[in-house]
Amino acid sequence: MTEPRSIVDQLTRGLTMVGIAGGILLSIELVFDVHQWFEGPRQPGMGSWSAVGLKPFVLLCFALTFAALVLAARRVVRRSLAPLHDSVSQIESAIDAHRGFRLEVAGLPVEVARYGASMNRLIEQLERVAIRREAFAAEVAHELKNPMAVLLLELDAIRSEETDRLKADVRRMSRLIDQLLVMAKLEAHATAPVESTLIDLAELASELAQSMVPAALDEGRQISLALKDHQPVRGRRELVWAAMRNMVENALRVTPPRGMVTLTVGPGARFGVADGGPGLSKAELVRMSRPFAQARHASASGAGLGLAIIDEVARIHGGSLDCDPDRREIILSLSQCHSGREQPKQYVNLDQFVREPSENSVNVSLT
Amino acid sequence: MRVLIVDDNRRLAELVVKGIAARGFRCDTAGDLADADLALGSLHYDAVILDLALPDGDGLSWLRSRRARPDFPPVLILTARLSLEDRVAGLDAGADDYLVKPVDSAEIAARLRALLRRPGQRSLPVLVVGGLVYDVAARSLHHDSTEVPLTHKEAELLELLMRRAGTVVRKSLITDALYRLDEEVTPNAIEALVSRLRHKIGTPSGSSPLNTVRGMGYILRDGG
Repeated sequence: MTEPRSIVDQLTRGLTMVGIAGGILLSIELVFDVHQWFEGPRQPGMGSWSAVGLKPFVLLCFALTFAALVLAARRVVRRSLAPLHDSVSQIESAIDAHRGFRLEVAGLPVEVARYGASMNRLIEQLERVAIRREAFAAEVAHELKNPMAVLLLELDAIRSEETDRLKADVRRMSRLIDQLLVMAKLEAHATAPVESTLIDLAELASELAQSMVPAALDEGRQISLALKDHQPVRGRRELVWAAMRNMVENALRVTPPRGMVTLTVGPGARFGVADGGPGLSKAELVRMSRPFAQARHASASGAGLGLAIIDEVARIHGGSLDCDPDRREIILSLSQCHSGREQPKQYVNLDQFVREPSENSVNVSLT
Repeated sequence: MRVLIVDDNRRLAELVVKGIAARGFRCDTAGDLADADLALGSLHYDAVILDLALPDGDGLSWLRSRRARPDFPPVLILTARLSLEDRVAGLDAGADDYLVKPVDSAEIAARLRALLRRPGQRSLPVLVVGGLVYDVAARSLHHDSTEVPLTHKEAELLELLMRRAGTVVRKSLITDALYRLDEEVTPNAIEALVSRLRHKIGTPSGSSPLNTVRGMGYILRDGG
């Protein structure tokens, strides 16, 4: 990086140079022209240098000099303001940059550096708010889960037909809290994005299936997994996991007993869940992706936050949420092109990337 | 089976004790990590149920520092932290299983039994899953008190599935465990073996605790 420059200094220096050059040029012309003006007519031998021809020549000289000066001044202003132009594009890169991103102010002109530093303070403040909100949501979830755990175990001890229903209610509340926590994470991500990593959808899908098969079987539903030609994608592991989980939970909910839920990974960066429910039309999918919307068959469980979560996760990954009503499948496609933005640009301080994870883990510690 | 429950929420701990005591576990409780150390130092426990947020420290770092001890019992984390990263961190720290609150006592008991059946733990002479009772040394199976004759391979498969009851056992794992490296194993061979075993441990009504999970493997359900 070059020495910090000042646009004002550079402008002053440049314009002074132009001024001096113009002054010298004008002085030379003046001396020459005045000489011609007064001496010229008295020498009739020099036919072409008549008083009539001289005037436009002098005027032309002045005009040319002024034009040159204007151009030079313009060039000086342009060159002096060029770093400002570069800085704007650098500052623009802060939009959507992930957590820990800071503008590199060291090489910027003094005037812009001050502006960049305030931008950095602003980014930091936003990040702090995002992280605090996330931690707060996590803490609330944690605080709610303990009394719910007590409630569930108390119901366990009673054991009757009613308690089974009540236990199912407690579980639904628990799921809603999980979803609200994911929503909080998504909102925090919108304010201060989480850095993406390389994730293997097949690994996540298989872990998801592992964790959900026992409970699904107990309720008479089957889960199967099909791995097609898939490839690793860049993404936010926690958020992608939450989206996939919600897809499977939704599918299990609408699948009647003895039905089958099929998880498909691939081809490419695609995760599909086919259920045994009545299927969703594209219009329904769009409508249900709004938070708290309910589909006509989403009877068993409360809020329809699931699809909103999935849709938002798809969106921030540059992907899409789609459905195939014939196959009764919902498909989450994560775009590959998203990875392009993850390449650290040359003026980004790499230390920030390295430090970021540990900062995060401290901030979400729970009591 | 003696279990130590480490949780600072007294009421919750008492409820867990009550719930799993009814399922054949003897329990003690510890309100913090110091208490847990004290209890583990004076008595032998077969398993520990550990909450992560405790008044005198973080359960994870405590677990990490104790896990290396050779006689340390298997640990089941029971926590309100529900994210994937928390789960991964818990298992990395040396926990054997991870349960997120709220859960009912049947599930806790099932996971505890699963922990105790795991290979590598203090080996149990007899494995019990639902109505199945398998004597490891004698390789004999009793299903609802009637003896079921098993071939050598069937017995091996059953032991594998029983030790991991309640979780999906991958086909590749079965192949690795049951067959020598130089043995030619077709996918059909495993399927046929599973099908024979399923038939043997099924009920007259046709249902069986042994389920196929397409694309993954098999699961022996632990009916609590």
